[in-house]
Amino acid sequence: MIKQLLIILKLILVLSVFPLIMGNENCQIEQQLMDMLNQKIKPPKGKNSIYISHLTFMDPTTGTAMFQTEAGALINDAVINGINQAQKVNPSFKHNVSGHTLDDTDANVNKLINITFDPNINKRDKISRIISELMDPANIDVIVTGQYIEKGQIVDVRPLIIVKKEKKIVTKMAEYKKTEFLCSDPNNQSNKVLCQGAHEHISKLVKDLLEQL
Amino acid sequence: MLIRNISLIVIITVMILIFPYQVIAKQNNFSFPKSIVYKIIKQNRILGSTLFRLSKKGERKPYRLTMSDFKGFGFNLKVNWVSEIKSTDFSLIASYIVNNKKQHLQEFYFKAEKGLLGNSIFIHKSMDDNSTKTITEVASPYTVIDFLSSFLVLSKKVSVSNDRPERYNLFIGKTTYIVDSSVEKNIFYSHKNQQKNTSKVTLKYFFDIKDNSAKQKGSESIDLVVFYIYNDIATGVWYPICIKIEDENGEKYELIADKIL
Repeated sequence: MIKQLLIILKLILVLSVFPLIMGNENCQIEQQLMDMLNQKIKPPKGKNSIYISHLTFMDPTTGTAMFQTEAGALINDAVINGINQAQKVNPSFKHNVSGHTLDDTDANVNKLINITFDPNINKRDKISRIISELMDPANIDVIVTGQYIEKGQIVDVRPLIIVKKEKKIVTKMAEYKKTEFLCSDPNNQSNKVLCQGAHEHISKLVKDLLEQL
Repeated sequence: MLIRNISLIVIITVMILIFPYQVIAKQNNFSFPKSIVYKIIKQNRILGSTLFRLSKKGERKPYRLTMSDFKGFGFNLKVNWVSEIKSTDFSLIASYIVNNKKQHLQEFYFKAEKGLLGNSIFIHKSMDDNSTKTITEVASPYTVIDFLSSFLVLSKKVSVSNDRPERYNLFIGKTTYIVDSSVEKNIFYSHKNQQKNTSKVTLKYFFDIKDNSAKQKGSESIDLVVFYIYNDIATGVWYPICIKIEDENGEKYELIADKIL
């Protein structure tokens, strides 16, 4: 009698928990399918080193490099921070290592500007020239740079990567109000720094871009 | 008059009978089924099924490929995955995931807009988080495809006996990756206890490509997607009878054709 009661109790317990177990499993299946739909068949990272260099941002309005500007230097800091964050996640990323560095000079950024903003060159020639004139001589696989555009009270910042292997440019876009882009340095009010949010956001965009490699 | 009417009725009846077996993509004798039900299998376990459809709204309109009706024991995922491709070269125009409220969860689309390299860009947007747009400018000459469009692109490739290795820009995640395709003919695939003669097409990703012509000896690669393309002689259609994928965590999925509708 007690044995039968125990069996019945066990059955009730199993039946009461069953929908919960199945519910969980169904959620899991739906999540797995969503993962499949989201095309999580991304190629895993290879063992080979990926050599990365960065160049100061370009201002397409003036067709110049942002070397002499306050924002240019500050954006560079955020970009380098983003590259460092990506390197921590993926140690195969090598940023400006010996023998694999494209110097961040006026000449190199101007060369990139002259190629990319020339309307008479088609896209295949543009990428071929960027590779042969900038990336191959420096022995690098990826250039991290970007565009900076001021539109009234809005600052449009577009970090980008030029990927030699895939012959492609991948860009992220972010817009900031000017008041939320440049802030006073809390340690020295006469100095300007990128507002905390903008600095972190640009670093994150660069990290996200490098994760697409 | 009576004979004319009878003839008309006969023609209409024949048309109605033929319609369900009509194939949509008919290009240079290449025919693809209108609908295929695939079983979804994960790590050798049947999860459920899904419906793959091919449609076209007009002569010059793009083809639309839809994967929907994700159903299994106790689950029903109400999302549609849609890809639109050019009817001429089957290159990708747009790819999006949409829920049952017709809200886009994710989209990737071509836009004739000024970029750094030219006037054609691909934009990826994900609506489930606050992620910003990702813009890809492809400068390589290879056709842009995605997972759904590759069903058609690779079936067509096999149907015209194009066994040459070819490269594609495969859209995965938020951007495109160059993949190499290879074709192995006369691969027997066991389907519902029948050995079917298929062509195995593998989309491979090479980690290191030194030049456009030759792959480096011993260079590291993985098989991203494997298709078994089958030609049903009776109906004349070409389609993937099985697709094998491995996700980034190494989990294996298979789609196995169950019914051609």
